Amino acid sequence: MNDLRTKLMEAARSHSPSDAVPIGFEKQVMAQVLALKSTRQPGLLRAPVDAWALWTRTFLRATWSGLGVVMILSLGSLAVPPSDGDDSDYQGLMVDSIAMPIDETGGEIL
Amino acid sequence: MSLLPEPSAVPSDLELVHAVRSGETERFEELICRYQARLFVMARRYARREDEVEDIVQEILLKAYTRLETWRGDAPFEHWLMRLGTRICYDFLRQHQRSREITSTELSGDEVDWMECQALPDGRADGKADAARTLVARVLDRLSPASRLVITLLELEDKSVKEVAALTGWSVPVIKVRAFRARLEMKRLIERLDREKYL
Repeated sequence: MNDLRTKLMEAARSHSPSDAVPIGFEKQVMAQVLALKSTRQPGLLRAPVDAWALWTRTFLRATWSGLGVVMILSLGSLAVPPSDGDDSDYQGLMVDSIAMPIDETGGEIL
Repeated sequence: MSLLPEPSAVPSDLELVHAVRSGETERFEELICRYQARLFVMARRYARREDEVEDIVQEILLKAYTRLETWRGDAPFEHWLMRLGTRICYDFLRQHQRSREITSTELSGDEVDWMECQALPDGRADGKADAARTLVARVLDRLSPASRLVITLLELEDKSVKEVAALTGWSVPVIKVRAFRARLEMKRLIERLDREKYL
């Protein structure tokens, strides 16, 4: 079967496709090119987009924005006065609320 | 001193591209005349109907015009254009993917005769070259787009794996794997035809 495939490929190789061009084909394409130019002139042949530069620019912008946010938050945390260490009140309040007996009278305060 | 090349009797591709970029759009026609025959040969390897061939070549040339700025001149213009053309031909194959099924009832008498002649010890069927070419076209039509592209470039155009890699943008190992699969796919199609012609 490989032999048959080889013979088929040889037959195909022996006959290269024609290089004939239809008469006036270049004029037809140029008409399309000129139509394209008239509709898209301003941006048609603009400079190529450098994907790497675009990515780097976006990355740097994101980095600076991130650093800005970090700086603001850091300054904010420095500006807030430290707590007076009265954490035990908060803890006591939480424990009391959990330990409070469940009211079985439908929530009415007696 | 100008960086642009000196104008000569026959302008180079670089000169023509510079002229088009600087606004002389009509000079693109010279580039079309220079390369259209090669593009027609390429397109006729993938499309059979002449209107499809014209559409492919037109698309290649229009895309070349709109992307002219991306050609930096570090490789010959022809290579850049052929790479663009190969990608458009591959897109065409993907859009016009035909059914993979092929039966011997589709084959003409001459095509069946050619296959039978190949089974003989001397395997000659000189008078049936057209039948062989039609048969190849039928088999290629049934291959997957990637297989067809790889087989066409490697076996019909005699390009090296590296050249195919440059044209398609695929890596060398990917091309080797695709070539292996393509040959297997083709072998199965031929086997099936060979089996069915005796049914």
